[in-house]
Amino acid sequence: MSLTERINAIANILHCLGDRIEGRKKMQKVTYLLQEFGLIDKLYHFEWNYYGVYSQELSSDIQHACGFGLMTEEKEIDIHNNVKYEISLKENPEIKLEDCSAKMNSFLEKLNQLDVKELEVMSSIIYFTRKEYNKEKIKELLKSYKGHLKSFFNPSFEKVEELKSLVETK
Amino acid sequence: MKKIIRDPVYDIIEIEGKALDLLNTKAMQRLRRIKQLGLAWMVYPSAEHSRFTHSLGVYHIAKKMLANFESHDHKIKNRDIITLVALLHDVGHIAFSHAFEEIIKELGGSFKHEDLSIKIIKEDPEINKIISASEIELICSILKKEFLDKVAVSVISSQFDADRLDYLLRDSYMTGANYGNVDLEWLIKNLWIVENASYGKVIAIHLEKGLNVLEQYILGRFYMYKHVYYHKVIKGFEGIVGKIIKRFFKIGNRDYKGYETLNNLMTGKIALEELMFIDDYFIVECFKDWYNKTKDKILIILIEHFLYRKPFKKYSTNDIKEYKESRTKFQEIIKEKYGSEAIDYFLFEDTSQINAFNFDINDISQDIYVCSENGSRIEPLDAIGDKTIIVSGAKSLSFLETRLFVPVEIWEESRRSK
Repeated sequence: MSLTERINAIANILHCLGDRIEGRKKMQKVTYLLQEFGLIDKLYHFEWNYYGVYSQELSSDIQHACGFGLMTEEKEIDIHNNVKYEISLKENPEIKLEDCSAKMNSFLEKLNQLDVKELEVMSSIIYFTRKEYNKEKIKELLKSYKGHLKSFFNPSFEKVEELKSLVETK
Repeated sequence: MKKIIRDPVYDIIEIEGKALDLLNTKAMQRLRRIKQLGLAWMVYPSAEHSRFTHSLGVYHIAKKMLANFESHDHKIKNRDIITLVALLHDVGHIAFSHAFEEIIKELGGSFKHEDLSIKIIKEDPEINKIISASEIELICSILKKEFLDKVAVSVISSQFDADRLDYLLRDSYMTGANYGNVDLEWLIKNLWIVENASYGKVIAIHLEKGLNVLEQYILGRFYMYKHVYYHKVIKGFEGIVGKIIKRFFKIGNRDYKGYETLNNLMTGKIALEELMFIDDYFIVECFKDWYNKTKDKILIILIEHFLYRKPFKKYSTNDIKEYKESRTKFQEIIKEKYGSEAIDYFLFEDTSQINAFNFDINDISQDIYVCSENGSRIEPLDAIGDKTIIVSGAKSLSFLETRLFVPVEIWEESRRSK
């Protein structure tokens, strides 16, 4: 898939999210989950990183989309000095936007309601599941890698199941 | 026993004990046949240095850094192990260094030199005779960044790790592009191990004394990426090598040199003995073998571009419409000249991009910390960025180029038909 095709696919994700998303990390996790649940084509190779699953290519493509003037990244600093980047889609005739399917809409609606930390744990669960670890082992791994997010562990397992049934629903 | 090795960057490198024994293993000696900078010698003719000399340099700098921390009265646990990790950290590199990893990824395979380093350290019988099973476990956990002592990990992988410092200095020296020639002694002298509740134990640079060398480091690193690592011709040749491998597997002749080995590498089934042979020399010999045997025009043209240094032409623009139009134009010309199958081999993209300040926004180990005289105050550089025009300026300094590469005749044809 060419860069412009990948950018078009990211633009469509943003479009389904109301043309914007808060946070690069959220963009990473949402794209990963969409990809892993088969709601978009396999666009990126995700690897394990400090904040969980991460694709350097996705991060780079967003920068290139900004370079082309198709997206913008606005830096925001909250009262705790945390930096967040809001990624927004700009109108451009070179981007072919499609209508979001009902399934995609409800999937994203669910994801958008969640805290990014929860998305981080959920995508970690999926990542370890793909590596064929059982639930006990995954819990063990989450404890060692994401101990600070412990409160999200059990709810995240449930939410992953909810996403599964949502996708499987015809 | 101790050996003294002459080195153009540090003059003298002293190596002893287990490090010296490891240096003489087949696994380490093969690094002499892998160039540190992949295909950069296509542009910088003197950039012929190897992963072997880089590994020695990283070992040397790690020793210097640890000695500096000890001079600040920090007791370093696992001192010797950390220096062995420094020496072994790149033992899993194969031909053309990072370039080959990208090629395999593009072809759908999975390969990371870090994983191969761990495989070699764990499985190589020679290495296993020199270091014990418990030492191997420690070495691998530091390499995987899983070791709990953050300082040990930081010496190998952080903003001021021995790896980065050596490659900036060595690559600057060997390419002649002097951007990365930082004041190493002063930089190391002003690195401190500091700890507080917010950031844990980290390596920080003394703000007052180290600020200018820090600025030099940030800018030097950025310019090295821009002018050397992401150079358009080097990136073009990396693309050509990728396309050669891709075409080779497409036409799939099992009788050609290297088929089994490369196929095993691609599918992750590579045996240790096979892995040891995948160096720059092996791949170039494969290319020559394929060039002599194949009748496939696409493969012949690609290998000729590599062997006789005929770079592809770069096209770039930040106008999406022009970019798409040019891409389509190139595709049409390639199709007309060589058939539609050739499009995938004679046209490729490169999306090089780097920020001077935040190298990798997702990796917390990429944070730069600064500290006060006695180490009582620790802050991420981001928080004090405004105290220095150069650092605050570096925040908006980035390199971004969306590139298309095509053979020169295709590019010329596209200009003629405009």
